[in-house]
Amino acid sequence: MHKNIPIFFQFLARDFYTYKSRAFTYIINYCLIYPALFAISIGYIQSNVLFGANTTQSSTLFIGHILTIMLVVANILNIGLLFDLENNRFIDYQIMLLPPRLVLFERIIFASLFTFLITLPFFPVAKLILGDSFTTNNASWLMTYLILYVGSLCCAAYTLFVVCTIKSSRTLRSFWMRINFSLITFGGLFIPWMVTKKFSSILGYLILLNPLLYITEGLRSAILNDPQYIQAPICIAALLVFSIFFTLLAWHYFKKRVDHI
Amino acid sequence: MQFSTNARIFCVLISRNLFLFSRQLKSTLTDCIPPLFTQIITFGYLFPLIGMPSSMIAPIYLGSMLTLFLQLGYAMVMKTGFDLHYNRFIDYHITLPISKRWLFGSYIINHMLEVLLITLPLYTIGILVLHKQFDIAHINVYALTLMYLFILTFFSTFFLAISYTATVHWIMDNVWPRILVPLWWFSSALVTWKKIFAWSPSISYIMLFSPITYIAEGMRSALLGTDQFIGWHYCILILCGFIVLNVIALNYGIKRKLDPV
Repeated sequence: MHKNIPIFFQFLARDFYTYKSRAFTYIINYCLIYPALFAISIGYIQSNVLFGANTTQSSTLFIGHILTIMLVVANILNIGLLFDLENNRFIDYQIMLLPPRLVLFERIIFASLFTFLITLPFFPVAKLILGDSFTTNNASWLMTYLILYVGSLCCAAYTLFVVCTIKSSRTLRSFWMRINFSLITFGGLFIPWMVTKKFSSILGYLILLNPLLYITEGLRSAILNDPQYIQAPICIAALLVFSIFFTLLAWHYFKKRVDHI
Repeated sequence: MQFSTNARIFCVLISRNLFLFSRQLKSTLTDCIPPLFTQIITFGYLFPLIGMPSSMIAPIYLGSMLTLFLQLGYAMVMKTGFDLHYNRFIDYHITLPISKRWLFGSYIINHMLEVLLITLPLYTIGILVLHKQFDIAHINVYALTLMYLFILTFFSTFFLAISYTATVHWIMDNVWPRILVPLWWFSSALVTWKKIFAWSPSISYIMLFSPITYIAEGMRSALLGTDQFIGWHYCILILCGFIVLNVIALNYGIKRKLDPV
């Protein structure tokens, strides 16, 4: 086991090195453009024009949009494995050096760390743009960033599970349209869970099975400190359970794909 | 080249593509159904619960459905981009005894037909589900037909221009954050333009730079027929300007990608 630890970290360093050349593009796109766009259009324009919102309501609407960045970035980072499984199979070389489960675990850790780093500036950039329109007076930043990391971990495990499950990269678009679009929208992108539950208790309880819901609810609870949202510690626990669940499923399907003993 | 030869090959290309498309129509329609119902529930039923006036349901639904055009357009960009970068099936098309204008005309018409076959039934289903919000007596069929034609032409030329002016890797990393998402969020797709104008004239003027503003407003004007939206005549006129810009960009891209000498 002790021999595997340096290799594990070398793989992790390699992954970070591979994405170093594209880091600038990601920083511009996901750390600046997206937060600025979401802050201005949703946190300011939409919420004022459409809902005549107070600052808390506009913050509620805006916070959920971090979900898009998280899932898209985690997906971009893990999609490479799908292309690799179909073509080059560099993964075969990796599993000769490290047990397959550790290879998969390394990818989850890398994707979660990278996604977490990308989402770090989301709320500070929004605060700079929105000022007092973004309510942060009662925010618990430690809890916020804890949820951001656990959320990134869950997104990384989920996207890796998807990559190991779907048959080919051609079906990826269908998967996004059929599954991920609904997961994001019903994961609290705009609407908090309480409102959906008020609309339909069946739908409300059904979307409790959506892991993305706990990211938005946890963030709203941590930033706005309002008891109407699912409490942050519960969200962290749920996200950890979902992360473990997706990791186990990913292991199972990864074993089938690489056919190791 | 003779008109008859051009027209004959043009028709063959269109029918070939329609044949191929018919084989995946069911799957593509199935892809679009979950987003359709997600949008209907979110904008038709959940948004009013957080304070959106119910009079806004129909206009917002019409605007929100434009995401489908973006998704389908992006799929076309990726297909064309991959072909230009890897497969180069285009090289075979160029050798056909058809002028380049007719050839690219066939690409534009193909995409328009595909998008029409997918979006028209979906729009209709949405309107039927939200029938209480739509007053059928106000529908201007002539305006709607003309508007839809211009919307399809705009998106076809726009996405084809993107696929010929940018590289596939740039498209994958940047087309959503740097082009599509800003055009979407800084438009009146999810808020009516006159409402924004009443709230902040300066912001409403910025939104006039996005073609999606005219697409959404034109659709609303033709379908809902009130004076709360920018008139469809103006929208068509300005869309014509945008289509000309797209064609100029496409010409430039074609020259760069296919005729480097």
